[in-house]
Amino acid sequence: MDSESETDKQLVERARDGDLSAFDTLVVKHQGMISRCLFRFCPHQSDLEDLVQDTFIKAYRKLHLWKPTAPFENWLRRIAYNTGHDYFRRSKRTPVSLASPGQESNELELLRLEDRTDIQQEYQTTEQVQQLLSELPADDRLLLTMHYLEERPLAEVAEATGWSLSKTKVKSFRAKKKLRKLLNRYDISE
Amino acid sequence: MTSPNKNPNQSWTDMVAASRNESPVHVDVRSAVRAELESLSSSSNQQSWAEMVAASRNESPAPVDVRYAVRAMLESLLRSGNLREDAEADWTSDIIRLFNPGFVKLGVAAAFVGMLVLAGTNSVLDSEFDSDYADPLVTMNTVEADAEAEWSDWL
Repeated sequence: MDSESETDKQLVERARDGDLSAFDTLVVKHQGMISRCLFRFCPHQSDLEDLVQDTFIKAYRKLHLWKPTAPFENWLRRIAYNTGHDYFRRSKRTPVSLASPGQESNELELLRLEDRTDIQQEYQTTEQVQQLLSELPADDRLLLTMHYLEERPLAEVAEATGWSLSKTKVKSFRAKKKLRKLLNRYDISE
Repeated sequence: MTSPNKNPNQSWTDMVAASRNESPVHVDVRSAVRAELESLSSSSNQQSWAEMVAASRNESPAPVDVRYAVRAMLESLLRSGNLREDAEADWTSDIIRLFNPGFVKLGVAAAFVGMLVLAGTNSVLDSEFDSDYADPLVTMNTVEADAEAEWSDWL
């Protein structure tokens, strides 16, 4: 059978048996979806590639845990969100480039962005949004990224994070409150 | 203190004259000024949060191909035998999971049931009471013991 036409279940079974080419096919099949997910977390190409790669390595390591009752794509997406969450935890708080004129950080930020050759017009706003959200704790950042940018329902956020739905709702409410304060601080209207 | 004048034969007037003839290195601040002006203009027509989110949703990543990188890393991990490394390290998260409210409630319930079971069974004292066993201290302090036995016999 042609590996392209094989189902995820068949490919996973082969990969579990040690067939790396079957896993290659899974990577080719799903890397677009995973990179689109993680792009909301990290728009820089080089970091994004690392995150996508990490997601697949984690998936291979946990392949024995996947149950065919749930779609492989959903399971993989959940791993991607966890990878994004880890990335938020690792990445330190960075100054926001949206600071009002005259602030010292504005000039420093401009110099930093001038040095960066990988920044492109295509993801300028995502970059700005993430710089703004980087002022918040990793959990809030994950929640707002998934809910606002990825447009995922709270139930899915709860499933991806392992939090209960009620806890996710409370956290979402608090995260939105913190975001509102942040927007006020930088004179950004809602 | 050493003199700033490197040439001892040079007078103050000569130094001033020499200084006037010196010119600075070429300075170009165009890019810095341009950047600052762009920053000022962009901040004056700043987007709202809703607009930023909408614009961000329209942005998409450049195509990513990690197939060869993933394959290379997996082969390297398989060769080194570290593929299950994080699965082994998961014991810490398993321990943390034991402290989640579900497990704690289950643990408290199990402990309560255990206490009930223990309370229902005969205690050690009861069994001692039913048997022929004579506690040396109790026996020693009875009136009969005082009359019949020497206390040091029990030592």
